[in-house]
Amino acid sequence: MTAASAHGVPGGPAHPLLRRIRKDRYLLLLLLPCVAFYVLFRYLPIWGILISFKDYKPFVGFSGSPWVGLKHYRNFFSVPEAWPLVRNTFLLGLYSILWSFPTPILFALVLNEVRDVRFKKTVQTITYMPHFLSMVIVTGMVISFLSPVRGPLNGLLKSLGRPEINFFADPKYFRTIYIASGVWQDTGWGAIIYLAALSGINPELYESAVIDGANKMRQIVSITLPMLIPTITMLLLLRVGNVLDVGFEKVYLLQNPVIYETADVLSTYVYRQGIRGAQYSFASAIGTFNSVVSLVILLLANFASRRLGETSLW
Amino acid sequence: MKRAIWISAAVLLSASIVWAGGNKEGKSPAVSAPAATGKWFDKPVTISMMIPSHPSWPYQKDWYVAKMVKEQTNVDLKVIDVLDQSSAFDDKVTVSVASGDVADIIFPIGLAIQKRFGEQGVFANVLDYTAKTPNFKKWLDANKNYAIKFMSADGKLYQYPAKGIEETNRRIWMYRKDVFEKNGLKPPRTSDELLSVLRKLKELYPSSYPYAFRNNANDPMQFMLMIAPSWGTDAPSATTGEFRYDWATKEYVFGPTEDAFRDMIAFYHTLYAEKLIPPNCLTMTATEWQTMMTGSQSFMTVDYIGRIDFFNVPGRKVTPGYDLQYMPSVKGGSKGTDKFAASALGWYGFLPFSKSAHLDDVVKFCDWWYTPKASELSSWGEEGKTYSVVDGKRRFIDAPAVENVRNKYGLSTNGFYILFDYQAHISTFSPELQSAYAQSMPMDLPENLCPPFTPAEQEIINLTGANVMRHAQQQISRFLLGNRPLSEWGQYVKEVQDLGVEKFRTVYTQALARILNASK
Repeated sequence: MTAASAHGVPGGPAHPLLRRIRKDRYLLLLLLPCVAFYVLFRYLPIWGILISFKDYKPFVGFSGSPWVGLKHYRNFFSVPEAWPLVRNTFLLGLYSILWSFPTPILFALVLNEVRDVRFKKTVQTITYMPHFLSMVIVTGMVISFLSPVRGPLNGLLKSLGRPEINFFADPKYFRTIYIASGVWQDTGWGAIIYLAALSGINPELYESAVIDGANKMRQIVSITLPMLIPTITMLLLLRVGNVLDVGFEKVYLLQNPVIYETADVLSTYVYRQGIRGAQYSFASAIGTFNSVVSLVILLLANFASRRLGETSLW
Repeated sequence: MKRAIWISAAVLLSASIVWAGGNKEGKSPAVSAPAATGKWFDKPVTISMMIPSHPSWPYQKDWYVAKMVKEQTNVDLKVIDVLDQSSAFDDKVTVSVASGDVADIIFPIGLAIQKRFGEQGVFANVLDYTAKTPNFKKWLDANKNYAIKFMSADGKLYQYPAKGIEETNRRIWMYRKDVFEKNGLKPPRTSDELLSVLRKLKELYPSSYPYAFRNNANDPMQFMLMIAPSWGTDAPSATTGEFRYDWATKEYVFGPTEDAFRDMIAFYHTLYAEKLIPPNCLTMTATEWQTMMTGSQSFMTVDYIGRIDFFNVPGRKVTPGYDLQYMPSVKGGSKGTDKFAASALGWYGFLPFSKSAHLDDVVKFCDWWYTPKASELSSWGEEGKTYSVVDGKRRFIDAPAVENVRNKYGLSTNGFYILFDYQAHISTFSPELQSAYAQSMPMDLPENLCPPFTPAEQEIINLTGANVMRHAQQQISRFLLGNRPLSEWGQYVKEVQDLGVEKFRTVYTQALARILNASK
């Protein structure tokens, strides 16, 4: 409070809190859009969960629609696909983390060792470019690339005397396609934050390591990685919280009924049965279930991280 | 067939009863003659209309058709055009309904919007306003048979139905006449002949997939809607009915568990296994299919009749002699017919918003569209402005194809037609396309009988029905691709039963019975 009292001018606000607000008013002003965003788009919509306990009809409105208790939750779990959908969603999210989480780290480490700045910048630009392509274009490219009729990959297989593969007619390929194209699209983009963290490491640490006779590998293992661990843990925790949040658009654009066995996830099911059939309450029941499971997973991961190391989200 | 006629008569009868009681106001028809200004409304009126704007001919304010409507009716149309891509239009309508800020008129494609919101009271029952809409009333009396397809389960009609334009949706079999003639092949008339013709073509052109069609990746049975009726069964669809009405037994049947359906799948599996159809036939996009057709990688297809000109014009530039022609439909298996699925179907029109501040003006505006003059002007336009008469025939000016007529003048674009004279489109067709029309029309099978549902029935369709459909779609595709052997068909039929296909079917039976009872 010493700082506040130092600024205390006669006639200014008497309450210490008001004085602090006054002091930091420009910083608070800068924070305002961010707070507004979270209130408007993250907290207020939480009330929407209530429609999952109603038979919501848009024109009749929220208050006019009747309460139906857990009807929509029961309906969902009575569907035979309920558990396969949860499993598909979870596995797709989990495998995505396993594959596409480490690749940007490795890529950043490799790129960090490149000394030629122009080469480094070029590689970086090229690799993060796909991130800006719209999902419709990316899936269109994936489908053409893998097409059994005109696709280059099958052309290659044929020229090697191998039988062609109908990638979108066999459930076993779906996860690989989804994850591999994700790695291709987002590795360069994901590496940016690690490159930033790497540039923050004190060069003196490396200098003293060199004097102690440590080679490149040894430097990476003993200096670079430990310095990156807090960033990695943070990002991993955030990622884990989104494990059930697999990209709806991409799955929807890549799936077809032949591969539903692995390719149908909660969000696409909600879209087909719920939104398109205007069953908003049913759709929001599934969405709420999805969020609750995500929250539980995030809490568990955070707990584990706090137990194992010092880094945690809160 | 006698019974069939009886049922359709009963359906129509019930409709006319509903309509007889529908005119609540009981006033004498309002004066429909134009007033002193010579326009439909004496004073300027503003009406808002939300339309799905087609990506290939997006709405333009200065189109002939937009100016014509204003000039004729004195109505300043505030058009809210939503580019019709995937579900954008549906989403926009839903959002506007939820917010309560709905346009005076919504122009839908299909019945989905009406089904979703009609019974919530979003749209006005146009039968309540027949006293104010004499032209519509006159049309309705003459077209009950047609208008009943737009009716809701509560006996109300929420839409001013459009008629005439649905011919544009006609589909047919097509074949490359030049390729067939060069190799001494004849168009097949049965599925056995189809198989042997395709095998010969594959032998002659090993890298080809002689028969190709595009499909909706999320609904593998979509292409079967056109194929299955010739096999004596039908594929399910939310628009034309998930169950096939069997006129002989007077019962609803689930197509994808019928023996005839199994025979069809077995046949298509053979085509797939022998690479007579493309390996990605179930997910083939329109672009990929078009490339195969124009690139002479495929020689037979089933699609919109207008594709004859669509392919022939560019095809002849690449391949001299390229000649895609109408092919009579192919009788499928032993239970099939050489007739073709009913395909010239469409559910367009005006949905008037029930809470519109000036509903009387809105229905009066809708009534104008049922006048002969509106029909004439929205189909052809005016001589000298949109068409000229050449050798006694009307020809559009500077617009050789339907696409140009739409882009240049806005004629027959969404929101600007009700009673459409299809001759206007036919006038732009090549002689071969005109002859295809003449040949295909008598081959139409009757349309499936799909009754309207109550909200309670719709809920069963949305839940039980959706599960049945999802399983059928998945398993039918697996059978076709050979991921599941056809020897397990009996097992599959049982799975569909376990998912509640019977409960799903009861909804259809009930809904039809309700209409029939209303006539007693």
